[in-house]
Amino acid sequence: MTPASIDAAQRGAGGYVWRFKLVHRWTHAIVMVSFFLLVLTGLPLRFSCAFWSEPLMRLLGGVEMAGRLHRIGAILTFGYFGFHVAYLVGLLWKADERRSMLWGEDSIVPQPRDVTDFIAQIRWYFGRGPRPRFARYSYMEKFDYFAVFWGVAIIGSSGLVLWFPELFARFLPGWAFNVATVVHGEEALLAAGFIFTIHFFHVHLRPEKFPLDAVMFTGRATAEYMEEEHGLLSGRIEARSGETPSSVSIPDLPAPAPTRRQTLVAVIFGFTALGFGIALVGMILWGASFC
Amino acid sequence: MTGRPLLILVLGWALCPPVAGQAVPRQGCDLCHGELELLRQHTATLEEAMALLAPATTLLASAHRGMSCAECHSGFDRFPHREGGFGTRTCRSCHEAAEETWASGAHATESEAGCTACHGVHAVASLERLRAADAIPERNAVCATCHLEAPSGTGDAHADRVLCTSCHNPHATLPVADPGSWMHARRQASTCGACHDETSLEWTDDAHAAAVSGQQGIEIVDGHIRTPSCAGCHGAHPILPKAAPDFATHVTERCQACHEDYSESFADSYHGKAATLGSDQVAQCAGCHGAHSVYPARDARSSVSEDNLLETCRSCHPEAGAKFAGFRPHAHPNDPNELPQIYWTNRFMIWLLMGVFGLFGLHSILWVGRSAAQVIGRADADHDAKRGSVS
Repeated sequence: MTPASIDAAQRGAGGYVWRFKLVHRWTHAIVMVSFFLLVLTGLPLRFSCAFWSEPLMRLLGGVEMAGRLHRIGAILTFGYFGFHVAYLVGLLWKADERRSMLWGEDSIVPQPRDVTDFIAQIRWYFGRGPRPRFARYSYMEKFDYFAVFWGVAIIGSSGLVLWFPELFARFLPGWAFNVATVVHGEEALLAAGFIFTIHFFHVHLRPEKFPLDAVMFTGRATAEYMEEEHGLLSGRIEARSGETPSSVSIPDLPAPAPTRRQTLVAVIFGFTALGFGIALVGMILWGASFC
Repeated sequence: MTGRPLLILVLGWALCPPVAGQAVPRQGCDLCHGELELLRQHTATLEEAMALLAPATTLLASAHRGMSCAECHSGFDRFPHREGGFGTRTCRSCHEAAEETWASGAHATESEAGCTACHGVHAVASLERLRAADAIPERNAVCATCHLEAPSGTGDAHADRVLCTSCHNPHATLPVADPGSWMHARRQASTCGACHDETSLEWTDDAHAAAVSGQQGIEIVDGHIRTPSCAGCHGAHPILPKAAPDFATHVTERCQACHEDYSESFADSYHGKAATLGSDQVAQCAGCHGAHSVYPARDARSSVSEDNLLETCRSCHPEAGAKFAGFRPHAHPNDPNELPQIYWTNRFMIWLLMGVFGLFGLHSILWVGRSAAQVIGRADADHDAKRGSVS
């Protein structure tokens, strides 16, 4: 088994196509690293009575050190969040990008198509129709994307309240800290649980893609993969397939095949994240059952 | 008895006969009773020889150094000793009060540990020696010969620094449940207060002291005393020094033994979670409620009374404003009687989690079923196609 055969995005016929820009991939990588840091340092506190929480805290260097690491994770999160919002504003500034960003096949904004896609998907589950052909972002991917906004807003704001209680107590009532505690803990559980089960399943573990889809790390996928996952883009991809592969990651343009080294790095990074995530799900399940 | 040692004995006695009232009166006895080797030759066992051994050096170092052998042992003034007519005075003949106290204690009623079991026979320690700081380990070792479970070693603030007998009356030794015991819950404040006087004074009118003053018995749960008393919170063996990293956690566990409801809500709070995981920075029970001046919140003297609460919070959160103290450190988000904001937020979050995981869980399960069917179907089709091409 070669590294390339592990990556779902490198399976199938056709040349390679760029799917994600470099800036997308770096943003996603920082989201991953900060998210793991936050979950790893926050989970033992959420399930402090679980058998694994005390050894994990010791491993992290104690409660105070875990707290510092958690705040570093928070700073990273606010950092990428701010960066991404600025990036979006920058794109919206450009008139030619605005239309396709806000509506249509290239847009990540939810629209009627997503409802019909969802219904088609359910029909497909029961053998009542073909699998829907998705645009640039499927409704699952849109949900994943906006879940980060919702999550950062809710977990981030409640986390800030808990981080600076003296400051926030100037205008918030005391019970707000109890509410923030509940919201922060439960919403974080939702986020971690969602990413490490639903997102992992949808992106990596479902039979079509198992065991790993590295498209977010290498930035590219085969034309056949794109046809299966984002069929509505096929026409455009086909139209430009004759061009020479672009070394710059511009979506839909032909791309050079990922090198063995790039693939290896992507696979190792991906499997590490999958392993950590699945281990954390086990810990969450233990904690939720016995705490 | 063979001839030669007897000759030596006779000679020895002839040279230095015992003379009453002399400055070194034991010298004659010491000639034989100071020499284990010699005694051993005239006795059947080593134990017998040991019993007869009483070197002058031992006696001179003891509390009885001013006394002659004959003051306790009668009938030995002739040598060779006559058969019969010997007598040994009991300790009681001088130490009547001590023996009477002892007779009321557990050492008399529960065991047969008499005077010599602790004080020895000839090496009776002087009062100065009994009280000497450097003698503490040696004195405590005497207790430990029977009380194997007695504390010792590292981690105990009292080990090698406090005599067993400072806390446990050596003569009227009683079980802790006995109101006469120095360690009875109601007497601990005065016993421990002998050294910890300020703490004990501080404690004497707080809520725990008030509770214990009405308490006759003493309850022991899991080997811990459940009555609010010094040892009830600090434990006894071992008793942790305040500087120990887990001192606060250790005391918190003792609070939890009685205050179960509050301990659960504490364990669910960030203070409690961090404490459970080993933080020594966060507030635990005593951090807010105080240690030796604990009063119910309705009492104006309480550190958590309406007027004092904010000041208590400020000991860790110096910038805290008036609203800060409105935080509920013992919240029960799952209890409908909790503040509705907290209860309903918790309900909403639980429904949200159930909804999201339910919807997407089902979405994923249906997907895996469909994809698996399709992947298998494709494999079958490939297989059929290959077979078709072969045939």
